[in-house]
Amino acid sequence: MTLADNDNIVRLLKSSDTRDQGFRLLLKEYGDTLYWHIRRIVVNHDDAEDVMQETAINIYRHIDKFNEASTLVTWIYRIATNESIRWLNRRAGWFSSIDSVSPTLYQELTTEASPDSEKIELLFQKALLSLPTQQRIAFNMRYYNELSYEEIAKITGKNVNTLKTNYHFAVEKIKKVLKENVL
Amino acid sequence: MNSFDSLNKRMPLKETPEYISGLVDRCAENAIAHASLSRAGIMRRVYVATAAAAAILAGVLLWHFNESASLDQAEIIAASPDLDTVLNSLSYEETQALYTYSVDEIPEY
Repeated sequence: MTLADNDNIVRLLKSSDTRDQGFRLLLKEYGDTLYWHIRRIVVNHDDAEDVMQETAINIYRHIDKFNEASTLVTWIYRIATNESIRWLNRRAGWFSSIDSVSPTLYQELTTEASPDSEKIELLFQKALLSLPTQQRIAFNMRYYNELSYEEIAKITGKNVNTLKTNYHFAVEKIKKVLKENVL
Repeated sequence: MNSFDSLNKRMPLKETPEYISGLVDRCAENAIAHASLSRAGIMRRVYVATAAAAAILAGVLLWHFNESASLDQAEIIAASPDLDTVLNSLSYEETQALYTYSVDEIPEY
């Protein structure tokens, strides 16, 4: 999608007469990307549906707060990421860390995996789920969505250099897990 | 180069484009509907709160006026002279009139 297309969506969103039209267009363009971003974080099929719905509600509700200091894409990614993290925190409960959910997520992943998926794909996801959640989310955005470190920094609120370091360590850890399990 | 580049970012999860498209459409419509319901809910709450405030104000005013009326009566009674003093000030004829007083003597107004 071009910058002009995004500008058009923002213009539609900012007017009360065309807000709904702009919102539908926004989700039509980015819905698929948002879904997979959420799904990679929460893993579970039903959870992803719920988080997707919450994300859409929050995007619509807070349209007036979009001040164009960030781009439209980083703004909706931020909402989706925050909703996903909130969901995982709820799953973890009051007294557990968000990372405690990861083993359960891997079990759900293996249950929901496509029959024609390859073992290496599952192993790769297992390696990803062994990362701390925040690191995993940042890795996903860099690897799958090919966002720049600057964009990821705006989404997560983390420092660019920290993200680069974390990504490097994440890659090393994933390679290690793959090596241990494949060879 | 990462050793997992050969994966080409494949995920072991597969969802059809139709499923995702349908989900996205539903989410969009639900979000719009949810916002309308929220607005209606907020107005309903405003109406209820206004009605409650009006009822409380009416109750306070009613109580205040009742209290004022009671006070007025109390003030009148307190300002009235002592009954003994009034009776002692009556003449013999006035005292007799009180003694022989009959309701039939009340003039019509």
